[in-house]
Amino acid sequence: MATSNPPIEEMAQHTVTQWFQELQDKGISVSPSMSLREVTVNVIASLLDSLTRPNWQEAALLNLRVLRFLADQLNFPLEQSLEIFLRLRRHLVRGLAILLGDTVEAYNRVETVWDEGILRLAAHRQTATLTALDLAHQKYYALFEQASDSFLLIRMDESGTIVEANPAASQLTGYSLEELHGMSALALAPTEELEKYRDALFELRRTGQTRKMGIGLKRKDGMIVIVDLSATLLVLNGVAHALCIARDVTEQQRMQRRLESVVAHRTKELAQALERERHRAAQMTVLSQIAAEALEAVNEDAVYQVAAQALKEHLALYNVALFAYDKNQNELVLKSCKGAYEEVWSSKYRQSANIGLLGLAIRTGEPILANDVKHHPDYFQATPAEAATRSELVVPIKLHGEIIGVLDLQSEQEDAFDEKDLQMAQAVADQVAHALETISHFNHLRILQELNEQIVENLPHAVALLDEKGTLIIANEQFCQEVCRSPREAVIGRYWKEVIPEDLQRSIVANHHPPMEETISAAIKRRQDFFYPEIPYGNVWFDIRVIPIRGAQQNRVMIHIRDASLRVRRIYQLETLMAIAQAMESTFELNRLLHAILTAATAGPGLGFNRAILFLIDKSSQVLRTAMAVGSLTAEEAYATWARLAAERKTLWDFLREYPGDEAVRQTPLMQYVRDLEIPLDDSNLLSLCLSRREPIKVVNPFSEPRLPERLRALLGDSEAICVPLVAQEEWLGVIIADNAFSRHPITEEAERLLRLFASSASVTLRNAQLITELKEALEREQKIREQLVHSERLAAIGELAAKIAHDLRSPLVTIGGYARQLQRNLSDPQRVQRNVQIIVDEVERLERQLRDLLDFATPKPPNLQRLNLNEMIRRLAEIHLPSMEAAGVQLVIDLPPNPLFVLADEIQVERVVVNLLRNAVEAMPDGGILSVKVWSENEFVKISVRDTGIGIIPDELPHIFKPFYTTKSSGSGLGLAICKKIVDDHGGQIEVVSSVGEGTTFTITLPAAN
Amino acid sequence: MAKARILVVEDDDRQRQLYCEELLSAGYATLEARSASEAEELLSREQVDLIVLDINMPGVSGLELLPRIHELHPGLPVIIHTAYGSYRDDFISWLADLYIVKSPDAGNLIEAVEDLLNRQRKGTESGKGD
Repeated sequence: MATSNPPIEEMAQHTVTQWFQELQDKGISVSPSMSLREVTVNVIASLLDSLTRPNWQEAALLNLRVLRFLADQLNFPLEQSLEIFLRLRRHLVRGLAILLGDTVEAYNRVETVWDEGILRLAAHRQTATLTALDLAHQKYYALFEQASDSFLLIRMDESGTIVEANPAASQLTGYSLEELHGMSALALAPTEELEKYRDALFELRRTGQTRKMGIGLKRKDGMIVIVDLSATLLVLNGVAHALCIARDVTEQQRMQRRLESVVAHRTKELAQALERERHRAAQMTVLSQIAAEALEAVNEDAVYQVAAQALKEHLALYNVALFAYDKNQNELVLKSCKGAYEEVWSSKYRQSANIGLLGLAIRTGEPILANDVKHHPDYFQATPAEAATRSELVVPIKLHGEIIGVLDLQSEQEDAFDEKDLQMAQAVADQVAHALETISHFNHLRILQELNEQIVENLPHAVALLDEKGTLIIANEQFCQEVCRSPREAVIGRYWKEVIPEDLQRSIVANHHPPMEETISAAIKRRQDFFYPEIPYGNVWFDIRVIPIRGAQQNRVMIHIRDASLRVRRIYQLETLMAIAQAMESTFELNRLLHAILTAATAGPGLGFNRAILFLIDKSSQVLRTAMAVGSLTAEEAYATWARLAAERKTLWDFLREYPGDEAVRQTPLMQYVRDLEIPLDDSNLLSLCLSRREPIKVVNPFSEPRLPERLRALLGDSEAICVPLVAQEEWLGVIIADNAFSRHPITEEAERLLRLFASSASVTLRNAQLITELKEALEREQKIREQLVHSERLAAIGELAAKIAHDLRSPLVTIGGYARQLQRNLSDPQRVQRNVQIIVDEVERLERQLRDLLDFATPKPPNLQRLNLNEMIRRLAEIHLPSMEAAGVQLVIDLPPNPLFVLADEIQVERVVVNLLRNAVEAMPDGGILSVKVWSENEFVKISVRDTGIGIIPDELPHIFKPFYTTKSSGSGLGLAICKKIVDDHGGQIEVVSSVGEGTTFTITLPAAN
Repeated sequence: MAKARILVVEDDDRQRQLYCEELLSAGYATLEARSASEAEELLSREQVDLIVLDINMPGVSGLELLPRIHELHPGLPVIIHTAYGSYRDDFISWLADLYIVKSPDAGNLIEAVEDLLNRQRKGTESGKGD
């Protein structure tokens, strides 16, 4: 074959001057007009020549170096070329030793040089990596054994075979470790939850990670336990595995449900509390209305009427009655009655003052609260219609110590009245008495003010009354002190906006409520009331009501403010605990978790510490080290942060979810301040004492506590701080220290209790997260070692390959050398010279072809896909190869479809495949035969078949023919078909072979059609 | 004395030609076989004094042929002539009288052929003398 390889020639052209110069430097005589082939011949001839010299070693090595240089120019793959060439050189040198006499001495000479070579190196490397692998394994198993969570390593095959499991997994599932190994993971899925498992698998494949909360797991005994399952995709030895971590959360779920029910219960209590509040607000309205309307009342009856009407209307009572006491007759005279018995009792109704609860009140002068009238010894049912009454509240109306009547409130419900109602009723009774007196004195205005002030002053909440213009006309002490934080003189007579603190008004708006301007105006103009629940103000929470008061001449507005902090705190604490538990469950990332732990301790009113610092034990050096700190370093920073947070109105959940990132957490001023603290583990300091006692320790004045490190003392100052130990499964993990340096609140028992509760739960989670981090690291290490191992195995394989290549290259070298020597001896015989030169040229070409195959195989080029007309290509190739086929006695039959077929392919590569198959076919028919080439289209594909009538391939060999370096021919690289297969594969096609011995062989190529 | 007849068993045409030419110019008569089966066939009808045997051939290899030669033609000298040194590790190769790794210089081979034929002759002569 006289064809040359265009890319190589081309490349040689490019670099020709450059490397010719280098060749000359190496003592090889070349001129730029020589072809690559000639250069190769020269080098080989020179190599052979050098072998006959006494200093054969150096001489040969020089030539070998040149050969290597040539190979470098031929662009041997960089990574493999070193390995291959070191090996190639070894074998060539060994070959040379044999050529030089095949003596033991020659062998030994070469062996000594090369036996310290790559193979031994590779073997050594392999041993070292195996040892490391072993260590990683030990560590990995230790972690496996220790973990309190269940670990399962599942191979992602059809049934999800379990390949590893730890004792915790055995305990969780009830299967023994032996049973678990090799078991299908699907056996652990409850039938009704298969869908969930499938989802998890899908997510795992897609994202490499999955997490399922509260998924069921079927134990061996059939019991279903609830687990949190998280899995990571790992590729071990090229096989996908899922590392699953399951945590039994049955108990946790039970706890959570209990917690939820507690919260639900609390919420119900809150609703009831709100209802009671509403009730009280209504009572307030009554009082104000009575006071207001009393002004208008011109006679005593009117006062009675107004009072009854107002009570009935605002308190939604079943029946309200007011009696005047006729002292002379010792009788009670009905003055007004509103409600259920309005029609029953005539306006002239009188009853003896000796009987019933009314009589008792008159006799004792004390109010009577009967929440179950049927069982009250003094109960008297005046008419059958009264049978509906269940509770009754009777209050004597007294004026200057003298009983002038009774107020009678009735309810059809049991337990309808409480102490507060009683107070209210007394206030009303007093007001009625005063109103009556007022009337008698005709001094309306003075009395009104007096009354209002008196009622309002005695209320347990902050109350203020505004006139139509929004000016404060009344405000009680609580309102001035707790809300306005100003003396009363500075409040009364001022516009409400000037006295109600701006912070409070802003907080209302920040909490997405309408501003007070709107609600006060609505109360004045449209008599609408409004309720602002739980408005944060400083460190308290207010329930604020805006209540319209209807007066005869003008409308007024009452502002009623009540401290709701206690309720808010309690509910928040419960929510906090729940949120913390969930947040801790939802992450295994250590830093995120640490941050969640500290945030939970500091954010919101839950635990409500100003700052928290976490120290973790460094196992290697047995000291406590700062792991993380949350909070502010200075008071200014703290106030600025609080103001910002109040405006952002984030929930605890938001805080827990938002991890600002490792860098941001490290860069806070507080963290910078405490970051490299190191505390020895001995009982001379408070933190390790706290660990060894496993008890929280409260420090009243950290500044003067000698058992704290200097820097911590300076940081904590003189406000109370608390240390809480983190201990899980008898193992010390660390300490949290928390304080209230800025708010300066004392640390309550409640806060201490909560922090402790929370620390124990945090400890378990922390320990697990640590274990998982360690495990992940161990697995990564193991994976790396595996990769190293694979790499050294690959090197060893390259070594074998190189040996094989060296042998293959040797055969043409021997032939070339032999004929070259003959040539030297027979220079006078022109025919012999002609023939030998031709043989040498042919053999060099063969050598070159083998090298090219090798290169192509070692550095495959991605196909350059273009639209390729197959008909045209086959016709062209047939034309080129027809003469040589005819010479070999082969008849070529071409069967092409009428319309040209197109494929998307790299023309040079596909041509190579076809030529290779044609050449194989011709070689398979040494005595001639028929070679048929057919092209046809099938669905989306185009097929090319090359069929010969040659010797065929025996069935044993068929499976191997596409393997590299497999050959049955005496000459050949064994790479031809391997390259064909590689090319066709790269094109997304297929190559198939059918053969029968003595009948022939058919190769069929399938390529995707180009549209 | 008639020329000694050397059978060269070698599948590579060019190498077979090369070594036959070298043996011819060294004064030997040569017979050529392209495969083990051709060699067996030749041996069954021709008189052969020595065999130069390649190992790596398609079909039956030289190492498979060697025991059969040994069995059918005991005492016939065989030189293994191969590109691979590694077949030395195969015990069958020990059946051969000599193991030579192919070289471009046929001198080795020719020397070996001469030595072996000389030894053979001496053995035969001393046998006669006994």
